[in-house]
This record gives sequence, structure tokens and C-alpha cells, in this order.
Amino acid sequence: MDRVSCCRSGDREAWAAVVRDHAGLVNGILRGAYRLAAHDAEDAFQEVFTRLYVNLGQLREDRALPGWIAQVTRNVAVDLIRLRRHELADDGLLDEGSYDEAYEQVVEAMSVRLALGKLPKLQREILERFFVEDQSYRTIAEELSIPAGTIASRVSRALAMLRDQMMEENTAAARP
Amino acid sequence: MSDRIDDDERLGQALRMTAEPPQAWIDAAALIPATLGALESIEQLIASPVFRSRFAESPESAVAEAGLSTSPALLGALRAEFA
Repeated sequence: MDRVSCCRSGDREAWAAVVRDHAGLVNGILRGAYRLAAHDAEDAFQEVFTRLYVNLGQLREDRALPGWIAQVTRNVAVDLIRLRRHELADDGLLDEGSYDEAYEQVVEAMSVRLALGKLPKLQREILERFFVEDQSYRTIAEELSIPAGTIASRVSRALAMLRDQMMEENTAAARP
Repeated sequence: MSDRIDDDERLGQALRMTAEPPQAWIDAAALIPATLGALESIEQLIASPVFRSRFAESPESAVAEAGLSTSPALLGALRAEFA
């Protein structure tokens, strides 16, 4: 059974996994593309997943999840920006198109994030720490208790695994 | 070699663009089914004359018997609803 079906049948673990897998996508759109303030982004984040849960019945398969979630996140972000502008008595038209490029970039980036989620924990952590948290080799080595001299090669190997995972996903997606 | 570096940087940028939010947000969203389920139960209880009568006698027992947490917030909200 796929995750959407499991969620529909009340599987809380499956739901938690759906949230975990798509948290980066939703956060990236809210904070990166639409530049919402942290407190608004937090509310919007919960709103997106509440809408997803309530509308699970509309989704037929797991593959539809990222696109559905991205679109709903965009709608929630735009609604919130309109609300904030209204509160500031700014009645000018909102140029939604000005966010398009950043939105598309985040959506495209999601394939990388989903592939990362399928790597073993250590490789995932190394890439997160190096690229997202901008940690030095030394800090990564200390916090993960691995020799500092091996970090560069571990990053390189983890990236190779990430590329392989993405190729595998693309191949699977191309199957009828 | 430089293609490889560009590609690595592109992957890194993609990961930065989709950085995860604080864990507390993820934990709260994971609880949405339970929260909505509880809300649904509360709505059903509010509509029940039996529960209303039981709540008037002993609010905490009525809520506990219904399988809900006897939190001050919930008890207060039910008292306000039935006032």
C-alpha cells in the first residue's frame, strides 16, 4: 500500500513520514520563495499540512504529493501575503508573478531533497551539515565522531550516492 | 572537473533551498490527525445531550470518560460552550 493510502486508513507513522519528507519543500516555498516571516511561516506550515490531511481523499498516489503540496503551499503563502498587506492598508495589486522564479527553483530542488531522504543516515547528515548548516570539516568530524581527514572524501561519496539515487528516481518516474 | 564542481554546488544549493524547518514544526504537523480527531470528538460531545448533562454534574469525569485529556484549556472551552 502506498503512503497516501496508509494515511487515509489512519496510519499515523505514514502521515509522520509524509510530513517529514515534504517539510523542506513547504519551508523552502514559504521562507525562501515567498519570504514569509518565521511566525507566519510556522502558521502557514501547519495550515498546508492540515489541508493535505483533510484532502487526502483527493490524492490517488504518492507521486501526486509533491506537486499538490507545492501548489497548496503557494496558495497559502499568497493568501497570507494578501492578508498582511490588507492589514497594512496596502490595497495595491499583488504581483504574484514576481515570486514565480524562486518558487520554481524550490520545486525543482525538491527532487534533490527527496533523494537525500533515501540515503543512509550518516551520508544524509554529512551533506546536511556541510551544505545546509555550513559546518566545517572539523566540526562535522567532531560531532559525528569520524576522522577529520576523511570528511572531504565522505562528502564526495555521499554526493555520488545522491546522484545515483536521483538517477534511480528519474528512471522509476519514467516507467509507465 | 569544473562541471563536477558546478554540479556539486547545484546539489548543495538545492539542499539549502529546501532546508528543513525547526523540528517543532514537523512534530506539530505530525500530530494533525490526532488533533483533528480530537476536535471531531469534541464536536460530537458538544452535540450530545447525555454528555452535556454528565458535564454539568462533573466536568472532569465527563471529559475523562469520553477519552479526552482533562486539560484546563479544554475544560474551560467546554464550560464556555455550555454556559
